[in-house]
Amino acid sequence: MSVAYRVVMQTADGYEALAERKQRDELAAAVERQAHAIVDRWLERVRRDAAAARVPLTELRDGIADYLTRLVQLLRSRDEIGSAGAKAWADVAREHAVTRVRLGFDVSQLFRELITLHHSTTELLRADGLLQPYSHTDRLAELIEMAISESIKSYVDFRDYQARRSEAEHIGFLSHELRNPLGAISLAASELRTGPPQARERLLDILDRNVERLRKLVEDVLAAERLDAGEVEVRPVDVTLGILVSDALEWMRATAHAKGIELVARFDPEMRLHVDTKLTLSAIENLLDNAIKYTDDGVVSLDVEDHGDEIAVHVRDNCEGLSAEELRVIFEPFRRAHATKPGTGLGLALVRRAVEVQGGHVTAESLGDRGCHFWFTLPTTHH
Amino acid sequence: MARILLVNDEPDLLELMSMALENAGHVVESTTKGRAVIDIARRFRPDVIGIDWVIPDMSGADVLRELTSTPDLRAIPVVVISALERLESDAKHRGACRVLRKPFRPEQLVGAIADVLAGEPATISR
Repeated sequence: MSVAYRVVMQTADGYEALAERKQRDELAAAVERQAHAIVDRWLERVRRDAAAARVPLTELRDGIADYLTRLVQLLRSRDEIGSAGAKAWADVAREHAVTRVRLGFDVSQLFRELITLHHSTTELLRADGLLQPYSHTDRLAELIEMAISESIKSYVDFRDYQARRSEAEHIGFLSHELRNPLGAISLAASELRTGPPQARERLLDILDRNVERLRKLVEDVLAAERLDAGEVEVRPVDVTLGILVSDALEWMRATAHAKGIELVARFDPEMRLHVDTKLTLSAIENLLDNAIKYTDDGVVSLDVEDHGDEIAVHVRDNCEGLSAEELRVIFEPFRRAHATKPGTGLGLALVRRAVEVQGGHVTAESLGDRGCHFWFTLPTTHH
Repeated sequence: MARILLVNDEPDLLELMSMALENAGHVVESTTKGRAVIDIARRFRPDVIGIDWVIPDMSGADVLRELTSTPDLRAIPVVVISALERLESDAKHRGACRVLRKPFRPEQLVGAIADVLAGEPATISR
């Protein structure tokens, strides 16, 4: 090969590299210029999802500026993907994924969010005529794909880590819930033995109450496990609403009254249902129990509506309200909104399972400082 | 005989603890509200305060912080009562002189209070 030929070839390579570099710079500059427009367009698209998930937009915006900055750096760099620049961007992708786990996003929401970002970016750049050379489109697509896979992988890792950690917390929490009534029982027993005889009645009451608390705790844990293991048979029978709930309601009224709050029940006792009585009753009881527990003063109400092919059971309370994040996890086992209130952290998880196993749905909404509204629907095929 | 203030969100436990301490000859006041502690302590002038670490309106740590940052109440020894494990160093670090683990027997409670009144060095009652 002649020297002259080599020089010509090298120069040609150099021109090509230079041209490619220039294109990259143009693309990077365009992304930078368009950054605000990309974020706005992206937010607009995600807004629908966010409204459904009750995620504030400020929280969604977070992380995206970083994404774009890194994207620009990568587009400017001459490195191949997989180099240090790409690693830095992967860090941003991971950080982003972690915030999504915290916000309670599921994987499909995260995926939709990233796809939307991809579309917003490419659409705007195409509108400017900046994605004409195919190499640009390819490079951008490759980068975004990398971010998506990194985000999803980090999301799954972090979610599993969270699950393992919260499992450990549950065990600690359950032992705390066990020790309080156990402590009261052991103290009351000692006092019965050594204390003055006039305290006997009070001590026996305390023993009764705390043994009942332990029984409820053990029963809830066992019921949750049975439902988890799918060992529940649904046996719907014909029953009227009045017969189904009257005993439980009386009991709940007494509990509410002892706390100085009012329990209002509005329903037609003659309403005919075809449901599994044990599961349905457990759902209603646990919702009322929860409402009474978190209402310090005010009213708890139960309303049951007949919608023909389904019933809707509404429980409203005057609790302190719940944040969007609390609402998202409230039906998960052990996710208690108010950690300082007594409770097993299982009641609402049991409600959800008892309702869903019968083909119904359960929902919660916060009415701010006016309280919370929980409701479920159950299909009721009348025979 | 000593004056003891108990703070606990479980009315049953509060009643039982008061009973045990009163039977041992102490004068007891109790509250389920962490926010009330400072006011009651100023009025009642307890020799020892027993705080449950998990109470609804303020955490035991918050109550302890308020007590240790209030000049005229700072010197009152505090016994932290809790079912939570791995709490000792945290509670001690925040100024508690003793940690009593739930569940406990009445004589353990009475003993822990007696030790604090006798000026025993900080320990954990198991």
